[in-house]
Amino acid sequence: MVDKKHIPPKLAKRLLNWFVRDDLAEEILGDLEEKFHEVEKRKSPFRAKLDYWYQVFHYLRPFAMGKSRFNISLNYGMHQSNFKIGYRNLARNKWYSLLNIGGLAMGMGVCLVICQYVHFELNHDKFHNDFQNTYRIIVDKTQNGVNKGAGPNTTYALGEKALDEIPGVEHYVRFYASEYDGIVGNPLNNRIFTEEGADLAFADSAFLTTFNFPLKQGDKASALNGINNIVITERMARKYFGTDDPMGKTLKINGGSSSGICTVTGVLERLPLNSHLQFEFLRPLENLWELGNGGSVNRYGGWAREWFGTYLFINEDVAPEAVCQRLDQLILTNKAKWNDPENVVDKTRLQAIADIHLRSDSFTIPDYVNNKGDIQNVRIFLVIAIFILIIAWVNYINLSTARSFQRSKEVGVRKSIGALRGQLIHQFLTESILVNLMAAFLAMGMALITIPFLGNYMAIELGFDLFSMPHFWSAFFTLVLLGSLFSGLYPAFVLSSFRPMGMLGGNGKKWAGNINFRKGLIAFQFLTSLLLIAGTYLIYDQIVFMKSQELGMEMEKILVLKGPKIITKGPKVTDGTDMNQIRAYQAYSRSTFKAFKGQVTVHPSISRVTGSYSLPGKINYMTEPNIRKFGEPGNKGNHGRIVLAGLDFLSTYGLELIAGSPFTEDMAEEKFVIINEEAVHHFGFGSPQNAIQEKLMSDGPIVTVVGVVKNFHWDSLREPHVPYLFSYGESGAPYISFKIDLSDIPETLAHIKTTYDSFYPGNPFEHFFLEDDFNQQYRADIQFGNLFLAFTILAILIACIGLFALVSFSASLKIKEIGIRKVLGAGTREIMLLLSREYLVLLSIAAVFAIPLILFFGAYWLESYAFRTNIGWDLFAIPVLVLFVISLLTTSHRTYSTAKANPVKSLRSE
Amino acid sequence: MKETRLGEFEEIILLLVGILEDDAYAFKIAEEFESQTGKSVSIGATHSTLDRLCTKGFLSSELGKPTAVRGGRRKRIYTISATGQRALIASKELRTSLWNQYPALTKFAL
Repeated sequence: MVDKKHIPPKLAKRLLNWFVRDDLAEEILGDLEEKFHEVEKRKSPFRAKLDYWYQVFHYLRPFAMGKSRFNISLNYGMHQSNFKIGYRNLARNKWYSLLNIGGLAMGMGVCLVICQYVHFELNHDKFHNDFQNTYRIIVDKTQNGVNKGAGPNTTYALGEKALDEIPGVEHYVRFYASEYDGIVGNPLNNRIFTEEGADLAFADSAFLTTFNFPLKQGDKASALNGINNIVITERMARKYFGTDDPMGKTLKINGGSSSGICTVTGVLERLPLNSHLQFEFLRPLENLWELGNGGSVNRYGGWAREWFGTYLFINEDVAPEAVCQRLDQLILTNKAKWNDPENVVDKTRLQAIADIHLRSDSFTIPDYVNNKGDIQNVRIFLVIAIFILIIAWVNYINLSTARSFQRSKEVGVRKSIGALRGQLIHQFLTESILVNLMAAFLAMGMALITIPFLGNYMAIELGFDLFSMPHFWSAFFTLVLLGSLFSGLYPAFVLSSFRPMGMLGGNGKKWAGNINFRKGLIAFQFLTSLLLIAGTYLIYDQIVFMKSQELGMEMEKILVLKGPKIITKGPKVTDGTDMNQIRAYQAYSRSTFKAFKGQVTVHPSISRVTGSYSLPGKINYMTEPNIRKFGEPGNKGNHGRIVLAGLDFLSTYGLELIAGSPFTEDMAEEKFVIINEEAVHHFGFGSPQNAIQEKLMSDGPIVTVVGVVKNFHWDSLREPHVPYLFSYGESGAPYISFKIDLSDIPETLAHIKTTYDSFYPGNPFEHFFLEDDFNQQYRADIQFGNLFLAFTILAILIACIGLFALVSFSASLKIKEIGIRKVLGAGTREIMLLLSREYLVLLSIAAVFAIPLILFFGAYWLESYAFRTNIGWDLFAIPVLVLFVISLLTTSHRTYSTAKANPVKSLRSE
Repeated sequence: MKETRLGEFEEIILLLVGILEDDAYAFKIAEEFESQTGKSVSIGATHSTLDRLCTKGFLSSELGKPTAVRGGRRKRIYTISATGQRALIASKELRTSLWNQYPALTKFAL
């Protein structure tokens, strides 16, 4: 025997023999062998073998390849014939084709729609020219080494200093969204409306030239140059000026952080919905600190108040980390006066502007961005899309193999007149590609129709921008082709493996492929459906749970009126920093409010009235980072939320007092607070009773605790209990809440309006019911739930098609067995049970696998809610039950008709 | 019409076939190419060029005798045809005429 070392590698030889033209094989093998020995002699057996492989691969050239191996795929006529036969097959079984193509198209359509949604979510803020190099500064605060939260608010001077001192920072823009609502009016036509604080924004004058918000009218470079200039959106132009040209006209603004008369110098096109910056009015920042309530920013040299979002534009050669280090140093040296006594350390990091939308969730300090997305939802939807696509292909496999029975004769005939197995595989693959391509085009149509609806429903701008990208389509069609190959491969192999004798003899069922494989696929579909149903159930369960939770406060029957901003009579405040003027103004507005309250409660259906600066469900409370017991060092502080609230606030909202007393009229504003249980615990009072008459301090004035209320849920149950401080104050409150009787709302409203107009002339009368407003915060959850439900229904629908196919298939296989059973006396019920048993077993297997998965993913999803529903047995039982009923409905028709069929017919046919 | 131009690689292979005479088969030609030019070439690449030269009519081939070192397989021996000969001469003449017109030649010929 020849030593193995000294002969060429067998595998390489076999490979060469396989692809090389037969008439060349001898000489090539000879040459290569000679070469092998030559190399072996000069170098080593190993090198010789390596070289042999190299030589073999170099023979992969068109001239040397065997025609018979590679020519099938180049044969145009055969292709044409395959397509024609595929098409005829589809046309012959219209019902089957409809199920098959429809199921696939639905899966692909859902996939396309989700892709567009994901694309939208992932492409926020990428329309800015230089978005790769644009960053927002995020500040992480630690106190005594304890993390105190992160947020995007910086001091006024940080950006300026960064530009001066840090190499690589090319420019900066600051942005400030007002915390206070304002009343905006056009003096010419008396259109007056209250505008949300978030819509009344301020920015550096370079804002328009650096960010890519196109101006419809006006000049980008100069629009924000004058201190009283204002740029408004197209929508606001229509709202306040109608069809008139707004340019050069004036708007009168009361409140909104800076009151005054502004001249319109620019009109913005509608802001893109995929921008994290959303506003309606834009004024220069100078306006805020010269004319508005930003005076304190100025007084402290720009290092004291952390109000501003700062965007840095950084040279791409500079690492963001290096900039952060320099920023930290700047803060360390300049902000020491405020940070050091309290042992606070600010660490900055730079957030890429494209990350803001999806990755700002973790900030504990409120962000001015209010259209944040959720990366978790994006991931979940992406997973669903993939699942649905897989289910659709699994379905295709099932349907195609299930039909093998019908096609066995065709295969038999083809084989007996000389078709090679490769040719048959080729034929079935062609059919698969045909079906997949038809489904793909149908899916595109479906997506085009659905996407506008989805965008409308989610209030996002789902364009077709993904669909206009050529590389998306090349990826999509590559996926479709790959999918059709993979899903077509199994049926093709099964169908082509039939032996002609058996099939033509009418005994074809023996070669029906591996039924266990298909059962596995169905079990997989069951499993996915179970997971999706459980997901839907869990989401709705959580929403119901949140809505039914005892909130600790009453929100029914509360009408909210947006408070006055324009007070025509009384003392004026001309200098926002003069405390005497402010006090006189406050005293006046307090007495006016008292008189208003006295007159409005005369009406029998109004039981309580109170003013406040925030409302349940709104996050426009003040967050004070450093509240502590009076006398304790500055580094002992804790976060707390402060809501300015007036007399009767507790009774109006039904907050339960557990110690102390409510506010009384003789108290001075902003000197007395009522706190919640959480605050008692956080500030170390021990018990509610001990807290009464204790003093708390922060950077502001020292306040005295007069009462303690039970814990309550101010907003969404996503977050845990937080210390709240109701600070006494109602003068100039932006919200006036009325507890009313719902018997005659129009009459009550009319009464409130006349009273309001007589006390506060010139203010718009805008009101809403708190409950509606409060429930708005669950809108995103409900939306998510509804979408999840929609996708679940689609997935189940597709899975049902597969199930239907399986049952039809097994019924057709067992037709003789059933006939014999019936002849021997089996009833319809037994037969139906026999046919159903198969998938019931699969369902229970799927259920067993589903339980741990549901447990794991359910717990993972619920983690983002501080108050959450329990995962109980119903979370497993209900999906199984639902799927059981759906499967029963899907298959009952088929099993019933099979069981009812006359056994003579089935037994006689041979 | 068939392509009758000679590429550089083709020309060298053609010349090597002429040099090797009775020993002109793919493996030997590839070896000779390596030793003459110092550049390596795979047998496949050589074979494909030989095949192309045959279709162009510059070469003819026939199967030779089996030898033991080749595991008893026969080899294909190539010979230059009359057309091939003409093409080589035409190519050489073109070069010579070009070299003769090249002025630098007289300067550096010393």
